Amino acid sequence: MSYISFDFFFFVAATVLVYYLAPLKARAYVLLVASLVFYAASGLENLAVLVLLIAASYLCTRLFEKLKKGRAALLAVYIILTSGGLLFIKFINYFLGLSARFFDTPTLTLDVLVPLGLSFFTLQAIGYAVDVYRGDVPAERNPLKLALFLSFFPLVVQGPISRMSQLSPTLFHGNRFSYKDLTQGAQLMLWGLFLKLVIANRAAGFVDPVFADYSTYSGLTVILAVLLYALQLYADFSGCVNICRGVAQMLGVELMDNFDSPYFAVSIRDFWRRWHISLSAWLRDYVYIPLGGSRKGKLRKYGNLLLTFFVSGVWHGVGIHYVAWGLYHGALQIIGDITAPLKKRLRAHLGVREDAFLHRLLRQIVTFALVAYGWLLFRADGLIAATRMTGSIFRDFVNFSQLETVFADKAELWLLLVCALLLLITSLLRRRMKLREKIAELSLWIRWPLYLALFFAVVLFGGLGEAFSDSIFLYMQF
Amino acid sequence: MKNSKPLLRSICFFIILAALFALATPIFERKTLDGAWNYTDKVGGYFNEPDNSIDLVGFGSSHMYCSLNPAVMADYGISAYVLATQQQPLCATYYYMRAALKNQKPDIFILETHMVNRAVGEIEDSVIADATEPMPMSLNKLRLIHSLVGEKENKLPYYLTLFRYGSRWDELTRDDFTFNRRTLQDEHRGYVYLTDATVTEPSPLPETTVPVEINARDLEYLDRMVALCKENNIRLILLSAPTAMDEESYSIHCAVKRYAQERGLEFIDANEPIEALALDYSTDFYDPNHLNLSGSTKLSSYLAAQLSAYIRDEE
Repeated sequence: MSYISFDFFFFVAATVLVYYLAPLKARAYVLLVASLVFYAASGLENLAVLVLLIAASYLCTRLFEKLKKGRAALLAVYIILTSGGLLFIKFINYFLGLSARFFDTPTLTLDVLVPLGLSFFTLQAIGYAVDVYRGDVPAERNPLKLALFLSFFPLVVQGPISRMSQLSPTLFHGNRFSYKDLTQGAQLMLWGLFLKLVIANRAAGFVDPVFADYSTYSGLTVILAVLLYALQLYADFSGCVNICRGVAQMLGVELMDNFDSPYFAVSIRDFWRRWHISLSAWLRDYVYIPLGGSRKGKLRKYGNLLLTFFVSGVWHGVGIHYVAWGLYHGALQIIGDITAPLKKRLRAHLGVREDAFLHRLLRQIVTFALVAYGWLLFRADGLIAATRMTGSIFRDFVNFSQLETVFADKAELWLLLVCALLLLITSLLRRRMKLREKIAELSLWIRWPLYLALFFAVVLFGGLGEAFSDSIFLYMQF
Repeated sequence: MKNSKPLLRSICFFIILAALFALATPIFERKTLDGAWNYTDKVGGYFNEPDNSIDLVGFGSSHMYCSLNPAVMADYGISAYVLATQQQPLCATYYYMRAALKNQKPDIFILETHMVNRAVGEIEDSVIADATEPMPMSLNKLRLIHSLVGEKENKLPYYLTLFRYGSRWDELTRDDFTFNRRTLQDEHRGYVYLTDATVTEPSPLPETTVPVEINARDLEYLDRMVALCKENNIRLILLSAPTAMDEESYSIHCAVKRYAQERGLEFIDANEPIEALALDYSTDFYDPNHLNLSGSTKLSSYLAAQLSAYIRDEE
């Protein structure tokens, strides 16, 4: 059941209704049943994998409490099995293909089950196990509560990758009905649909032809396609996150926001504090810091950074260009760290304050350009394609024929630009105020037309009728 | 009262939303108002005919709307109308028959039977759109849609068509904003006027056939049609319009013939040589499967000659 489907909307409506009709103490179990039903819709075999992971997590974390010795070994076995399973499922066919090409033999493909959201709930499970091991949270004694934590339907497919300490206050105890949560949750869902259907899907219409046929395009056309991909990816992923957060809020459950205006970041390091925040935090707490973080000297720090971003690249996709993308970000952070003292001396010499508007704007533009190039590596159909696309940027810079081909549909392009401008304005406003609360305080005569306009924007411009059943989130394949 | 205020506000909001949705839907809906296949006019125009003014209605698919010409029937004193759309599944035709009785009390329904056993599995969106959209909204129309979208993953856009046609926002014209169902009219009364001719070889009917049965779903809808006509005292005639047939088509054709015989229904087989029809295969076909103006004139004249006396007696 896709998050973008009428089936899902009806499912959410039914779940919300049953949730608030149920006694307070039973509400968590309503969520559990709903989550298992949701996941079972993707296939019972997928549900079996999720249940297996829940059982393994429960067993492992309960044993942490009972064992005096061997806890580290148990944790290691658990991590190896869960992450090993994830890596096997993701990479087996890739390596079989590589092997066949290397040895010039027929390609063997395994029909491997790929449960929806595997990458997300596996990391969430590993994070929970490590937290229990460290004593940060007690092991959950009720297996049904643990099952709910790992399978909660708004986050099981695409995160945010949550911690037990984040979710338990609002997930387990049954929430009282709040009109504010219900309406604001619905509004957040609607905003998420707008981002995904109106902006992301529309941008994809311009981006996909360039990346699919990259040898045909060059110069400005490639640059514009990359910039639109940056917009598409942000709108797609944050759109889904907002839908999920909106659904959760309707049920009184608070999910963290996975994005904090990432394209306003002033450095790559800052970018990763704003983009896919839950994954960044997970990598920091469960990979970077256990490796030693920055506590063992500069060289070790840089090595740890590269390794962490290597893991990030591997997690994001199957293909060497994902690893290249990850290492690219790692290298940029290292370069940023090395050049920080030099930049500080330069600012002092020029008399430029670090928080000066123009200086900040320059840093944001440079950071965005670096991030956008990273998205070229990420989106390209392999490392060779990425390399060729990079080279093509520097030739035949302004080719009107190419631009006319890619951006032939002027009406769609204008609509996309207007919607992107709306996104920019709301992002700027959010940096200064709690925008949703501010809108809620406005007069009904202003609020209602805004909500109606958003609804009809999704209906009219969201391509719901044609693309509805095909709507796939970019991050769902991870 | 304080506790019910949010609920009342929500209800008001949804009423306004629903009203705007209902207002926007006919603007954005696709309309076929031009060209030979202007289904919006053809089907919509039926419901604007004067009440109780139609004697005979033809139903089915393209094989009906290319074969029955109401203008020719009018020469015999028969007021006829064709309510047919491309590849219309039999289940839809049943609901068309029900809709046809809204403002009319015809004496005769003619069902062209080419679509028996044809619409199996998921039905194409264009077929659903052409069959459903020209119909005015009613409970019958909802049932019509329901009968067609069983295999579809996302059914709601077929009921609430704004979800499907919102994407027409950059194609809207003045006609979309001035569209009014009450002014729809078709000069050809549902007939598709095609003058081009394709020289067609008369295909001899296969000598042997593998007997087939009418599938359960189509059988159910045929029986419903028979019952509906009986209930409303309407003479139901099954027609097999001239078309090229392979072995499979002919097997289905024979199955329909058997069905008609078993239920005592009239079956006009225009694929058998009928001397009075005198079809000319070099001039009477638009393509090997459909008659053109010349061919439909002959068929319509033949049918009208057979039926005009019956209609006069009924009146």
